[in-house]
Amino acid sequence: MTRPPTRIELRVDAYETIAFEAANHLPRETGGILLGYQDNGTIVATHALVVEGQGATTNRYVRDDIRADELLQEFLQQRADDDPIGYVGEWHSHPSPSGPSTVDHAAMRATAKVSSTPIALLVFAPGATGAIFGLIARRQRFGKTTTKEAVVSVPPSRFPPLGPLPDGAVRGDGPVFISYRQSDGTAQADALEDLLRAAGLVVWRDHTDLRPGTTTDRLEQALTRGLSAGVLVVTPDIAHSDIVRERELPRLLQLDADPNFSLCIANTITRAGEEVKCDYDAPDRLLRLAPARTLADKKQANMRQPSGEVEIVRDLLMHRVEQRKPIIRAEARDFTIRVQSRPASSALDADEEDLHIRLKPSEDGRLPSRGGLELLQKTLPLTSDAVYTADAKSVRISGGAHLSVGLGVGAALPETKIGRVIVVDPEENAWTSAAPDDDPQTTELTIEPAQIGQDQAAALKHRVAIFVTLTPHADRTAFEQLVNDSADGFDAAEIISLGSTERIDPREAARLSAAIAQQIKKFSASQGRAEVHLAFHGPYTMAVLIGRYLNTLRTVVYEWDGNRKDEPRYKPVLVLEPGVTGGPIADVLP
Amino acid sequence: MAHLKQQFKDALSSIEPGDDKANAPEAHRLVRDALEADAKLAEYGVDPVLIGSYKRNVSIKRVKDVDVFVRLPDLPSDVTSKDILDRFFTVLHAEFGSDGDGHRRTKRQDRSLQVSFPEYDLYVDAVPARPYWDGETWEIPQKGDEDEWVRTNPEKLTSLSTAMNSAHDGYYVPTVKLLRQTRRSILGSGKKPGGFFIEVATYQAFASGLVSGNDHAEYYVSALEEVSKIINGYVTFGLGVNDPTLAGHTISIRATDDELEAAKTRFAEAAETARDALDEEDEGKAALAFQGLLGKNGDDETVFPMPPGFNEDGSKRASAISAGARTVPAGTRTFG
Repeated sequence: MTRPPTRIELRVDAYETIAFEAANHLPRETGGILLGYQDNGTIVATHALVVEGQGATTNRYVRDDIRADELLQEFLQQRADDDPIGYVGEWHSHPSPSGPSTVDHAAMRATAKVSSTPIALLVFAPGATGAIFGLIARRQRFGKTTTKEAVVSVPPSRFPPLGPLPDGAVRGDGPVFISYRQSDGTAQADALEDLLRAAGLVVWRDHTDLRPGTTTDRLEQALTRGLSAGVLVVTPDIAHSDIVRERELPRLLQLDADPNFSLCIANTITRAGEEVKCDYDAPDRLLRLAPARTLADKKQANMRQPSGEVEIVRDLLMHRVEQRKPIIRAEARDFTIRVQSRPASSALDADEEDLHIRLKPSEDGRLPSRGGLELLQKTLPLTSDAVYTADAKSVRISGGAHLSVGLGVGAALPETKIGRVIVVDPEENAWTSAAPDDDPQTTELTIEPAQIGQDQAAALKHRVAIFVTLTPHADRTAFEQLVNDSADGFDAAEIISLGSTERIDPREAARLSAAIAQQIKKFSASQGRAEVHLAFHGPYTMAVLIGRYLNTLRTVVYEWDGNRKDEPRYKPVLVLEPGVTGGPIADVLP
Repeated sequence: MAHLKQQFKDALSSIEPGDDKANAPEAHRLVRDALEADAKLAEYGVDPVLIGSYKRNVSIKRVKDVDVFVRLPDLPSDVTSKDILDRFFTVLHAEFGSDGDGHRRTKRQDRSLQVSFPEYDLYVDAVPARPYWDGETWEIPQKGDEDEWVRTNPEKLTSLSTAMNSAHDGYYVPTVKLLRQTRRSILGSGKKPGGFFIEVATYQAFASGLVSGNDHAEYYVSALEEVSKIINGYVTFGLGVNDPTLAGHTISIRATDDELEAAKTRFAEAAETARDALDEEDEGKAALAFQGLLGKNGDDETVFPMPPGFNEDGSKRASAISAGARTVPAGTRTFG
């Protein structure tokens, strides 16, 4: 004979089911049955089953015995015949944190009356405290039943408790941490990571940045050693991530208490019946913070719409610039941007630059990747606004990228908006948009028309082709091919080249870039403001500076495609139209 | 006799591949689509099919590799093994490119191309295959650089596996999983002989008619004993392990002498431990022994649980446990 039970022991499976279901049925109650066995004064609950009750309200739950028994039989069918696990009691949730009510006591006495063994009742209050109340009902002699409070033990967390944040956990120049559930959040996390990198922000991601070692320890280091911002990607499966719930989220909330930290919530959960709207209460429910409105009261981006991603990028860019502004002002220095469209990178190569624009590398290395340009199309307007907000006297650009990217970046920093741009080449020479006093004036431009082989009588096409070639001995055949093979044709074509065969002196950059842009505009105007098809061959630094002046034009930018060994050619990759909303990149071409 | 039926069931669900079960087919589909989209391979009649332990349902947590057998029924005989592996590389590299760290996701191996899926933490091996002259079996590259091919028939193993499982009331497949887990636990996950060798040895043991039982415990112990004998035969007397898919062929094992010696000794010890555990009257002691043999799963969790009423060290608690009820007490209950 075992002694009557006074304790209820909840095992992991049972606890997880109860905590998850209770949070997800808010604001209503939910409940079901407890399965397990009795062991020396303890009712051990190994499993909990949910029995969906008809008409559950915020303070009432009805458990149907027929349905409950069906679920129990299904469960038992999966178990071995010598397994002692069976029905041991009941559970339900109380959205407001209160213990068993008189109604609950009565229900338990009624159950105990028809049961040969003592029956457990668990009442769970969802929320940060996750309070659990226990009761054991049993039949006494002469048909009398009693209920008695029971001690409840819950499974220990697999993580040690979190301490306070150490000093330096929030760092203005630290990376952005992306928190998400791998099973269903990876695609969204990837998309945000790419977009943030293209906008110039440094991102911390587990798959590239988590070094070998105990995952939770490394994660803790990443979360406490200097972050500037965080993005919490909320997907349905996040409910099953104890890493997010017990490690990442509590740390992110602690960090967010610091005004210098920015936490964005990327909400992907659809509101019932409305495909493009998101459920702003879901993050608290899924992460078991409800009924508290910790996340509902923060700004959430609706990821059901494309604008959601852009909103997060804009917020984080502005936050970054706000952090940098005082430093830039105090040091009276330039706003710095590094641009890369070739090598891939991780948070570890974070450097001193205010922004570090990185685009996914292309597969072949020669042409920029289309995906990368599409990201740039989304982020350049935001980056442009952010730089403008920084209020710096001049912008210094370093790195290296494709020429089309250079023209695009230049177009995002137009002369009308940004006073002075300095582009630094790999030899550390500064190519400045403002003419220096020591311009050697050795290089002059040569402008010559190019032959157009098409029928001159044809209707106006409003398209002109221009070849800007700033290095000696340029190969003109590819440009000629561009002009002659075009299906849509051109009204006129022109070649702008260096008069001498010498290379450009960086001190000539301001004068030459302005003159080249002037000539392009003039040529377009002479053909009735025709669309410009620009093949550019020259230093990346000049591409950025010329891009600054293209604000009144619609320019189709070509890249040199050397992938075809037999037949190198120019390939159109993007359309610049800095004047329109959403510019400077109006279109990315396939 | 400790049969610990529920604990064996729990052990089997603990080694069941979790998320990988959803990710593996997706990774496989992506590789398959890329190969099928190539005009040249289409000309060769490209027809990929999933093979390997994953396909045969004998994989255990964590699944790291998914094998795709790419049948090319119309491959001209003058296309060398190097040519076809080159073509696979071109197609797969063009599709999958590089990962976030700039590493190529497609890697050349002796017989196949391996594509990594870092987001799922798994690899897909695509093995090109041309028909053997008998019209039933296939040939795959032996070593990519020389035009050397080797005969194989992996799909046959899938159907043999299914048939063996039905012949043993569904106990064959779980037994293979338990033996593969035992191998991983007693030899170590990176060590040879690998899981495939244990699977084929288990098949041979079942095919010999010497493995029998009425539940998981009996099958496990019986198969472990027979597989241990087969390993002993191979290591001590050089008796090959039959390739059940190619009559007269034996399977080759890439293992050092030390590894083979270790496998022989540890499997012999494991078989004895398992037999003693099955005969043991004390369920706690038996469970502790099975726990030791099955070790931890890919998530670092103990595979074999203690039965209710026993402490983690296998000792029995003072009181008897009483089972939960088999039915829910009658009556709808209202809670407030």
